[in-house]
Amino acid sequence: MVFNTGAALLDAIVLAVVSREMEGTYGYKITQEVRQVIEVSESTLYPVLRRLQKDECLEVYDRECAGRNRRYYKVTERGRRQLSLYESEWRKYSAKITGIFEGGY
Amino acid sequence: MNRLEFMRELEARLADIPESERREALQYYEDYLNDAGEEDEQEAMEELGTPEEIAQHIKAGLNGNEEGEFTENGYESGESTRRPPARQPYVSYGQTQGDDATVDREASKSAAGKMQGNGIGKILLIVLLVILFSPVILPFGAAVLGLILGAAGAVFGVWIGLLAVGIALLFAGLILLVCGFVKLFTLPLGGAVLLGIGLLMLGIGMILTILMLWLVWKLVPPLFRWIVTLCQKPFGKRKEGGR
Repeated sequence: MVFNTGAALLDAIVLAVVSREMEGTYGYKITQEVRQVIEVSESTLYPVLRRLQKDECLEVYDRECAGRNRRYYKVTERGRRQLSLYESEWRKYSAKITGIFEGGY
Repeated sequence: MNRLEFMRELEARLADIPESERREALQYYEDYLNDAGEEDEQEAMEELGTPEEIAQHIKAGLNGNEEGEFTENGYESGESTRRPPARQPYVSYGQTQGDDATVDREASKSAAGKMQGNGIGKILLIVLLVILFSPVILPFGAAVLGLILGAAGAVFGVWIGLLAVGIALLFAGLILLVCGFVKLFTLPLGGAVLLGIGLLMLGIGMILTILMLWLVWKLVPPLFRWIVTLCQKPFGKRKEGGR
């Protein structure tokens, strides 16, 4: 990809991916889904998830799956607010860029 | 390297971070390999990168400076910056630039907050001021408007005048050419003079006319666009402020 992804945008993408699952989702799946959209290395996402968790945008819980515990991530109320802020900022930002490309003023 | 070795090395490389953080990270990567590696554990580990790289990312995240960029070569960490753990854009790896970005972001955040808080109050204040000062503003505004219109009229008048001169010269030149041509047979000298003057007038007329038309062609569309932008400005601002 030509364009780089900043921290805020990566946060937004991760929050969006996690928020799609009502029951929450787990690290491997999040990584795969994020990687369908942007090119990040597999090991990039753990620090992001951990930070979002510390910022109380994500909460974790363990769920039993095939005889072992798997850690699930779920978006908190605060995370949802953060995500909607990101979404509205993104709409504005992308509209401006598109406007410039398409020759508006 | 098999999975056990992989996890052991990761653990060793995380020896200098708090116990709880280490447990979290190891649990995450255990989970990850469990989910990814059902078919091919080896491939999953290779995709993850070396334990050293993973440990680096984890530590960078803990220090709040995972401020690299996600470039076309994947993630590039910027180890040079040290920052309080908060969410900030990883604008660059440069120290100063990164810090500027932080400041900018905070500033824009607080500005946005202020705008939201005072939006209605501000509008009311402006309306009130406009009403209060209308005896001053109205004549002044009218004067300014008059000045602008007057200037525009003057420019337009000069333009029309020059265009008219150009066209007149064109016609006069043409007529003189014809006359000179006719005279050439009866009075060669006078005819030649007439021809010369006619050609001169024709030339000047052409230059003037083309110049004037070119001016319109070049100036009017940008001018029009500028006026439209000027008219849109107040509305655009209000839309942004009052969300």
